[in-house]
Amino acid sequence: MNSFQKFIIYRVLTLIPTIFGVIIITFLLSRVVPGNPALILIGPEVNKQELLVLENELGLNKPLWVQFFIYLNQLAHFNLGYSYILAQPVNYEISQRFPVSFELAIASLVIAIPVAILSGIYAALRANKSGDHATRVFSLLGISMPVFWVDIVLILVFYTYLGIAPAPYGQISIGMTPPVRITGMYILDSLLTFNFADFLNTSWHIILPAVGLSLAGIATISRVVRSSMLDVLNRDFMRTAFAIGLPRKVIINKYALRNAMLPAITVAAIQAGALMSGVVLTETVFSWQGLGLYAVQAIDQLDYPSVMAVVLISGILFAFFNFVADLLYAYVDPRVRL
Amino acid sequence: MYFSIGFAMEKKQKYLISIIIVLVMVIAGIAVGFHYLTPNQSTPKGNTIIIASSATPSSLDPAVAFDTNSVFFDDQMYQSLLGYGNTTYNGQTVGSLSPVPELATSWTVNPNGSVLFNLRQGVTFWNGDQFNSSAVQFSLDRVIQMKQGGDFHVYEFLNESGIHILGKYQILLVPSAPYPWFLNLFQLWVTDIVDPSFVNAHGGITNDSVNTYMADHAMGTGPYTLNQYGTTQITLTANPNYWGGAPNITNIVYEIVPNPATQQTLLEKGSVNVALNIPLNEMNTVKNYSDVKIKAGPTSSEYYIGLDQNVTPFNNLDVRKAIEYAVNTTNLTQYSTFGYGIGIKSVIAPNIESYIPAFENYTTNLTMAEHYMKLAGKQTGFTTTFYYISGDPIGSAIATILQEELAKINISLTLTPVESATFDFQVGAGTYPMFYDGWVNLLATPDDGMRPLFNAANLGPYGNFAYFNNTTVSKDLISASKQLNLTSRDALYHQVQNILASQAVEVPLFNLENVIPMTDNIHNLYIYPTFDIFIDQASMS
Repeated sequence: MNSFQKFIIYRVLTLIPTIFGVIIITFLLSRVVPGNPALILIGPEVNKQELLVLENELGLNKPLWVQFFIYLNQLAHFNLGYSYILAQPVNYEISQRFPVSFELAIASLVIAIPVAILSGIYAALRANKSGDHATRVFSLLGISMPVFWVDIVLILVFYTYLGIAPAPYGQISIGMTPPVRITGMYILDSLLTFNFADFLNTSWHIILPAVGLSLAGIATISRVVRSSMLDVLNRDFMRTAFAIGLPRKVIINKYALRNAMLPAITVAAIQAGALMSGVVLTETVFSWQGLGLYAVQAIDQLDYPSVMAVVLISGILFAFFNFVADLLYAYVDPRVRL
Repeated sequence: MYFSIGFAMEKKQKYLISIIIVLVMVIAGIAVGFHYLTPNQSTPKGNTIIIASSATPSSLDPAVAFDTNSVFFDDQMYQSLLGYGNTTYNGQTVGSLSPVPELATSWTVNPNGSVLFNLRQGVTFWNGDQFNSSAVQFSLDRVIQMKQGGDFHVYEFLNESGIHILGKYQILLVPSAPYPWFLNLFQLWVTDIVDPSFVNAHGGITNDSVNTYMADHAMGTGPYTLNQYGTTQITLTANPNYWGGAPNITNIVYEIVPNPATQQTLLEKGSVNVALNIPLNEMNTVKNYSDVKIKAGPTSSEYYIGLDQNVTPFNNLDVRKAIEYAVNTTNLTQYSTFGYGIGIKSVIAPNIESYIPAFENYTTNLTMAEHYMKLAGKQTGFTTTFYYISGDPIGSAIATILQEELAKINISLTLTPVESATFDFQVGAGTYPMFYDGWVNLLATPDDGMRPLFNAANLGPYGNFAYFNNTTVSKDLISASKQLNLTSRDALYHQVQNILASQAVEVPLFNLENVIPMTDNIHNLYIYPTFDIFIDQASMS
């Protein structure tokens, strides 16, 4: 077994307690929040007897540690509970909504990562010149502007004034039938079913929300790429490479970039993990019925099982993306491996 | 993890040209695609109405639904024995609470409160199954056995032994206890009639439990059928076999648009015909949109400033009276509801039976307010916290105005907006001394408007957030809810309202209108006090 394989096993083993920690914290936080989900469920006309029966049914009057073990038992059977607010198993709701958020997150990453890397390299190679200043101002704006504000401005400009963007009510236009469900991601499903009308329409719908969501990521990753490129370019080995006459393109692309990408990989992975929880505002503005919106509605209605499911999934995804980042890091830089 | 561009000049040029050609073809293809394959987004189609609403319905099952989003679908797809009539308000036709024939063509109310219904013949469910008294019995039994959502109103007064089939199209319903508004129960969405065969084929009835299949499937007798149910969009299509004749509007597209600002933009551009969740503070802007009109009608709601008698100093009657005299409710109503509030002088709305302006003596009078503060020994004032739901523009406006008004009698208010679920929990727990809240009187009866809020048996989380405990009021409320004679009932409710006023139990503010902005080409879409919307009555030009 080589060092990389050992590294993978080690990271997988450390992932397990991380996920368990997420489960514990999720459960405790949901119980700390004030409120009685039974009251919310039963509605404004409260019958005392019915309330007691419902509280018993939901297990709300059991000791906390009993509730936790019931929850663990459910998780062990991949049962995320039952949403009494939506009268559906949480598994079903998650299966419907997760692909929506995932598709949006992937689309924003597809935009963010190449644009960020290219702009970061561009800024580093033109350090302290007008191109660098422009890139840095753009980064500052991207980090400073709240995503919901950016989304609203994008709608205002491209939909309301210019009329070239689709109406911001979901993934597909009215009058279009959604593609046959395979993965739940409309763009991918339309490609897999050769439904090009749906593919074009859903692609059109995803552009604005993906751009809005990607701006903060572009800004962050671009800055990291820029600063790490500058750091690498000023190293002795780079001076040596230039001195011995290697072509500039080879030096930049083969030597500098590979070394400069290491911090960018970490930041990109963190951004990717944060995206799944960050989509909530974009989903709200563009009416995408994804996990983020589901979380907001669940929190508003104290739908405990749904809240816990979303938090758990977000936590696991975040841990997973960090795990992938560690693997990539170890792959790119062998010094990191055991 | 790196890219290398180590090409010779010729190859590089060829690749660049190839990339440019491919890009041009892709862009051209996309442009053609958009032009031919994407529907025009700026105007809705033909006789399709597009409605924007902020939330997914919790369930399409009328026996489970409790939120307005769900009830909207029940109103289109299902029907109950009775419907709601119309009346005139401010020169416009609006919905009223008076019962009209729907699946029942006529009815007789007997002296003991039971009701004999003659059912409409020749009605079928969408799948062709016949509607008859067995379907009525099944639907009501179902509500009683499942005990979900809004069922409470029904199974409190009807049990299975009170349902008697007298013929294929005749049914006698006997209340389990005297209830003056027994007839009105059969206007509610909860008593909508479902197809027994359809339900039995998909999960049947389980006591104290929901039927998950019926949450997103339906089979009714209504003017619309369920065409497509998705997380972002739900579409209904006109029922070709509807007994009342084909509705003018053929398709209903219900778009879930959570953000009110987005709804507003869509309405402005004409991408939706109706927007259900634009906040009242935006209505002045919406009024100025071309091709948009606003329709409003009274509801059965009542909004008030709550005073928790469990908390010092609101357990002191003189303090409560001082606040009654200090608050200018006319100002509060005018400035906080943006013109859509109707001032009220009692704990129920003026359109509710037995309403009297019991609180009208509490006119704005700072001298009286100071007098009562002195009587309470609080002439130097006190500090307290005022709670309201965060994100509510009306609550926020009330909080700000109230802070200024009470400062005149040295009451210093700390304003605290709170998230809605926490608010509901804490106000029931009695931890909020002063708060802004509302009560939607779903049955539009004095019983539903007062008993949950002022009966001692409902103290705290069960509805009586004021922690008001008065034996006479509790007794009168129970007696009135069983009194079939209107005159005697009125007397009891008048006494209750007078006691509540004399005890300054709360500061009644307004009845909030149901306000719905829509495009100009929608006609005859009536606003109902119970927040129901019936699209089959409407038409599009």
